[in-house]
Amino acid sequence: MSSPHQRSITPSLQHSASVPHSPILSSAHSSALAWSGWQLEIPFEWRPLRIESGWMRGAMLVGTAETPLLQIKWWRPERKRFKAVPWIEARVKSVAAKGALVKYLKPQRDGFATLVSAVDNNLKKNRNRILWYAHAPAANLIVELVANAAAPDDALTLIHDTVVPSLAATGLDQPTRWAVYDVSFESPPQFTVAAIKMLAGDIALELFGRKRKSRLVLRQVYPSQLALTRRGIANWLESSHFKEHRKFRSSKKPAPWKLEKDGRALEGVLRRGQKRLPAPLGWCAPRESIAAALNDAALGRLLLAEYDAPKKHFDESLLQTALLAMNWAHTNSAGAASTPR
Amino acid sequence: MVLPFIHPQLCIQSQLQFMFWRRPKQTIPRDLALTARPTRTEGIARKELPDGGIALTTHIERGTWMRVFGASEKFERTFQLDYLGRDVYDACNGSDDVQTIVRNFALKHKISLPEAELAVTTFLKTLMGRGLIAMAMDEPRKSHAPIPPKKKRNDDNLREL
Repeated sequence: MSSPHQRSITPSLQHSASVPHSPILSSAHSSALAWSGWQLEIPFEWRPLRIESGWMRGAMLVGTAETPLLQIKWWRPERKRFKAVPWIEARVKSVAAKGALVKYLKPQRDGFATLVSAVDNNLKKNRNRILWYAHAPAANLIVELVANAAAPDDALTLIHDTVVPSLAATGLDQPTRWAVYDVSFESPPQFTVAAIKMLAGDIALELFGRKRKSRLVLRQVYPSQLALTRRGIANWLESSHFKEHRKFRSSKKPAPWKLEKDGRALEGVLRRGQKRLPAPLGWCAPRESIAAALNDAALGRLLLAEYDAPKKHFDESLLQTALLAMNWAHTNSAGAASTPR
Repeated sequence: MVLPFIHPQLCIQSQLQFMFWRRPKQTIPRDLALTARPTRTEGIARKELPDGGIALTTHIERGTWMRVFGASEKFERTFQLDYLGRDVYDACNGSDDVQTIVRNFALKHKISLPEAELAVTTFLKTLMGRGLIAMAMDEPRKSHAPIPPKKKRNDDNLREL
């Protein structure tokens, strides 16, 4: 990215590309950003500006409303015997100028086995960047963080001291965490994201299990008071952002339901039934379906989850687990943590 | 095509510019806009609604031609705000700037700062357009020349840092 205020790397920035020291993370000024198995703490004024998401690879641009500050890219290597260090070295060679300063660092957080930083001062392409590469073998994940060296000094300091050291990854056998715009979910292990819908006040994820046999939809609508004036809670269950071939069939209406979460009783509705293909294929591969909508009045959120799977793979507890794990990273907008992470 | 009267001293090029070319939109930088202080317009009748919202009634002057054809000089228009809009409207007290209103709104309704900023600033623009609030800014413009429009960021620049 060309910068009108290009400057050469200062000694302070050169020093900053060495081992980042452990920061004193203040939960009052940071919020969680988690996507596809990686997780970061970013200042609460920052936001994702652009998301090109996928499970195997993707990219995200993070910054303030005025300027992008940090780019995050991730890959999941498909080869079984994958060696991170040669891959990272080849990547640095391809994206950075010759003579880029490369350092091997000790990862500060669990999950990452390798952490490499590089300073790219490419005068030909008018580009000054600081790059970090991290490899998490348990998550089968490589993450690239790119900071523009022309960004303000306080932003670079935050990236070096707070953001990069907070990078963490969850293994493939653990639940995957998702957190954006103060809305957070946890998807079960072995479930990969197929579609994401992000609207103001309405964020939804569609996930599929192995071989697309089971489907899980997680959704939060807020503020709940406004949402419930537009539509009843049972009607929110009927609405969906994601199209599917199977239609829901049930002889019973949604029943009232309660769930204990963080010491609070959340009230809502629960719906059970089957999902079938349209006639005359209704007999073919039906799926058991369960869906719930709960009103978390304390947080002002409607929590919606829907799970369907063939009868022999159907695990009803997945729905309850997903609902209980929602908003694991919640902070109020002033930045103070209201629930422990 | 009937050409409108244009002063003969203007050269033809200026005439064509005046007639056909669009004038640049005046825009205010974001950081300056966030320091603006919205104030409720006076003379607006307020009525509480049972759902927690409010109804605001304002009088609007009709255009000259409507009055020539016999319409009344002023007419009433009522705007209904829900409880969220009421919070924003009540926060327009002339002393809090837009940034403070956004932060308080995000804190009260437990939503993230970017979403609160988008919602509140869009709503304030709507209220301004309806004449229900006015904006006060500390820094007056130094000249009467229009502020050049902000250049659109090329999306390609966002792809790679």
